[in-house]
Amino acid sequence: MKRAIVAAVFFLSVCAALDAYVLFDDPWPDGAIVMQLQLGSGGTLIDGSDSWNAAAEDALATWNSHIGRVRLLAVRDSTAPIGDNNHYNNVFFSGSLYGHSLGSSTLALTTNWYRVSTRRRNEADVIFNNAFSWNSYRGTLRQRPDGATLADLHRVALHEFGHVLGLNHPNEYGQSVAAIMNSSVSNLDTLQSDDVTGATALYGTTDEVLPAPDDCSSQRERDPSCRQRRPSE
Amino acid sequence: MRRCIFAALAALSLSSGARATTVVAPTFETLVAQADAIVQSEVVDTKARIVPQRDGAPIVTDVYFRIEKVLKGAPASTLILQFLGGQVGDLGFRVDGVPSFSRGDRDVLFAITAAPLVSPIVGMMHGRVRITADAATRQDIVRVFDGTLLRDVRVLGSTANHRPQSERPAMTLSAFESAVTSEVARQAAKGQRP
Repeated sequence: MKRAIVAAVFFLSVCAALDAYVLFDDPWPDGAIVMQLQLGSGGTLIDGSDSWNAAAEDALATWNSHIGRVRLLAVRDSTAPIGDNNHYNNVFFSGSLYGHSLGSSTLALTTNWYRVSTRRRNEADVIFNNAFSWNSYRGTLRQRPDGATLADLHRVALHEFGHVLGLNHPNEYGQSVAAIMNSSVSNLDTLQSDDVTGATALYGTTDEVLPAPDDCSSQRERDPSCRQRRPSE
Repeated sequence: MRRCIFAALAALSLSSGARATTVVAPTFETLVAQADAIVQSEVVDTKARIVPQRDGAPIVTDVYFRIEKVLKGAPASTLILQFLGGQVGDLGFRVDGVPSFSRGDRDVLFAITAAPLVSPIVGMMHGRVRITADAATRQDIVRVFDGTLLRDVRVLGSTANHRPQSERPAMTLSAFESAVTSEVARQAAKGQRP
């Protein structure tokens, strides 16, 4: 009986942690978040994507299918200047971030600029470490013939764009939950219910009023690309 | 409830042997090998500043560590490490995954001081081993970066897989430091990177 109680307490504690998402306290204002996809072509990838940017764009669309008050907009093959705190949300490959090396063990990073007084973010850049071999695929994590990691850009992009939205790592707060936002990559390659619950806690569900696809109203004053974009882009 | 239990078990099984999305979690041997300084330290100050550069002006935070014990390398009595991110006035800059420090934090740090890194800690945050006092024994014990008790150095490198070691007692600071110095000596004997 004692064992059963211990087991029950354990499972209940785990179940209580199933809604374990962790949020940063600096969300975006409602409207469009324009992501400048600058990853290049890369040829046809394992999942059929015809470029890195296409794989990243699919990850953006995946988040968009769940959230309401903001919309992640992709500018594919963007030529926007890459830099920090320039109000462009750059997505690119690099081995360093503003003169600081990503190191040999970092797959990807997301940066965020925000106003302390308003707790509103105004820029997020995503950098994929070009020291790794990348592809885009689903299912079990793969390795190259030499045993090195074959990094999956699609699932890492899902994770990094979760950071862009304002989600943190639930497992770094002593929780155990299935989530693409865990700091550990696994065979999970899709958003989990905890990820979606976290994102909708920030921005509501798709039942709420959506910004028009090219509505840059919330960023118009800050994002030059938003000012320049046309509906056909 | 049954669904809930299955979900919990699935989550636990999926997490085993995983690598960090942003970081490939280093093993204990890798932590020791890649660090050019391993120290027991206490944070005495932090200062954030804007650094004008050719491609922008990021915020960096200089963290000042008072060295309590050196386990590898020869750092000065105060070690200053620069981390990307911080707050200056109304402007905030965060790099997700880069650890943040507060005055009084005590850690064993596996640091890379030779070149500027986004985080000068091996494995971004993994090379930060927290020191806390055990409430019962009042001994210093060690925790991994996320606060989980460290019970065996062999679990390092499998970030989400700390729970299976929960039968073992927490590792004391002295036992952890003994493991570090032994590994430093072993690697030196093998002619690995000092």
